[in-house]
Amino acid sequence: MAVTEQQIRKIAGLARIDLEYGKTPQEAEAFMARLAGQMDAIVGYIDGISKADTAGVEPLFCPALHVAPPREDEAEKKRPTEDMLQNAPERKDTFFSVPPVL
Amino acid sequence: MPAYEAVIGLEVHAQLLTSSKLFCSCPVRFGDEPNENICEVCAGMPGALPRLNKKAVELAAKAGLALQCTVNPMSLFSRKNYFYPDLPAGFQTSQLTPPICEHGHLDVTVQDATRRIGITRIHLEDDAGKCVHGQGATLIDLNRAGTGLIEIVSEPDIRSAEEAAAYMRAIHAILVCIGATDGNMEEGSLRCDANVSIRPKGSTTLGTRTEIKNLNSFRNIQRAVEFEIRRQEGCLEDGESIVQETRLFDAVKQVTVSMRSKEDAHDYRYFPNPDLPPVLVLAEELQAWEAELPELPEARKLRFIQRLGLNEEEAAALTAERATADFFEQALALCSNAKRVAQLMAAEFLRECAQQNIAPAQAAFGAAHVAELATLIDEGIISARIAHDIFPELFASGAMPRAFVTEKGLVQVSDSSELEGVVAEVLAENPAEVEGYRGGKTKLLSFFVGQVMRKTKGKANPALVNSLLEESLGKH
Ligand SMILES: [Zn+2]
Repeated sequence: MAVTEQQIRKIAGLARIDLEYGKTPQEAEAFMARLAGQMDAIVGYIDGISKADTAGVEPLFCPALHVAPPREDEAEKKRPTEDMLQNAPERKDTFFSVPPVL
Repeated sequence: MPAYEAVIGLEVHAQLLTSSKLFCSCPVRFGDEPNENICEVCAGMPGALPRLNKKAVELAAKAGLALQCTVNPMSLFSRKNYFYPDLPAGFQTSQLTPPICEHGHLDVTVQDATRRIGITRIHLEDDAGKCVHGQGATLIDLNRAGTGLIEIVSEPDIRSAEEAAAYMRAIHAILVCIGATDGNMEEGSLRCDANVSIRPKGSTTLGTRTEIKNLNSFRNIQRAVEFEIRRQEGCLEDGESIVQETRLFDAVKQVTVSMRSKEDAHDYRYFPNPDLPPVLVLAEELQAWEAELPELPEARKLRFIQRLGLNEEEAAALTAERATADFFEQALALCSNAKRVAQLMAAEFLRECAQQNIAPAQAAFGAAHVAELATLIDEGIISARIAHDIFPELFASGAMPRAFVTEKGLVQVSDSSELEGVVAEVLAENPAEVEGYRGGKTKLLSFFVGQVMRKTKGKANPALVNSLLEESLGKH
């Protein structure tokens, strides 16, 4: 199944990525076609995997079963607020500040 | 005009009563300075590794057990992707398939009719932070971000606004009873979204539904759903079609309004969260949790009715919250007249609690006070009327009732020689009524009782007054 440019636009839109930013219409079109081709190759690869014969194979739900086991419910304040705010592009008092959404 | 029936499903979100967040050890605590309780995990920083809180799994499983669900031995976390500033990672960690619990039900009673509402699923997920919308900027506080929630999704089995509110009340009572949530709706610990559609009565197909978001009180649930049903009926009668959309309830205007959102806003692109292993619940764990479950509100209510002789209304009032039922049973340990204690609690104590906005356990007037007041009535030391009159003062001061009535001279007059004088006085002052009574208007007895009570400031023993009056009026 070929990935269409329309699908690329939709996915980019959902991910809030402007694929046309800084490009002429011709460049944007070429870029879109290239992305569609790359995505097509990835989806084709997954399609190939999904054709593998898995009869009698236990499903693997997570590649990292033993990573990050559950923890006890013990509260501990690990990070000073100031440290947490260090990466904030903007702040007001101890709030993160972002462009208005309302 | 065809008759319509409403088809309603609720999605209830309950904040889990844990000390730490769902995937990190940050404290779950509100009222702190903005961003005081955050770390790289709950602030959504790249590379941070989440670790699941065991207690959250236990509470979700217990909620499932209490709602007759199957608790899955294995469930998975997925990422639900969307953008909003209060969601720092760009996704919510939630469960799609399989969720921790599914296939449950809850029986809900409205106006003596009991109906079974299916519970589709219960899943674990993390909460978002909070936005403060200011001038020229939106300010973000992530203290709540990452707090553990369960979402309880019902089947579209609810048929009226009243039933929706009753369902929510029952869920609230159960979750608080088992200690899964504090149930504080004003602070958003329990909130729900309602999916509402209507269809002609008798039809089995579903109409187009709308979703009303973020209802945070029983009253708002009922009113929002009521309004939405009427609105949809109006649309159909005017020949318009219903638009599938998300709506918000405006509690001030009592209407739901459309939140026009982009068509693909609901394309969440769920995928399994690669950072989290499956949630495993062992059979032994589940058995232990089941054994730990307290008596549930409905069972307790039935016991109060069948074993203690309370009526439905009293039992319902006393079991709506676990703390109230516990309070009642503490009082019962000190005064065995269950009916009397229940009446005092339902008629006086709970009313005062509601008026003063105090939780029963926090009142200065405790279980020992209620028991003592009930005993005073039982012993004939005060009348129920006096108990009613002095209740607000007792409640506010926390004074012990026996000492209080003695000190205020409210002890009931049960001495017949003292009352005989008052009865004679009342009869002498009302010759016309006496004649009426003797002429057959026996209903006038209550008039005389009232007069005696007035003269004794309510302190006369009512049973004694009755018999004295009947005796005196019988004499010619
Ligand atoms: Zn954290």
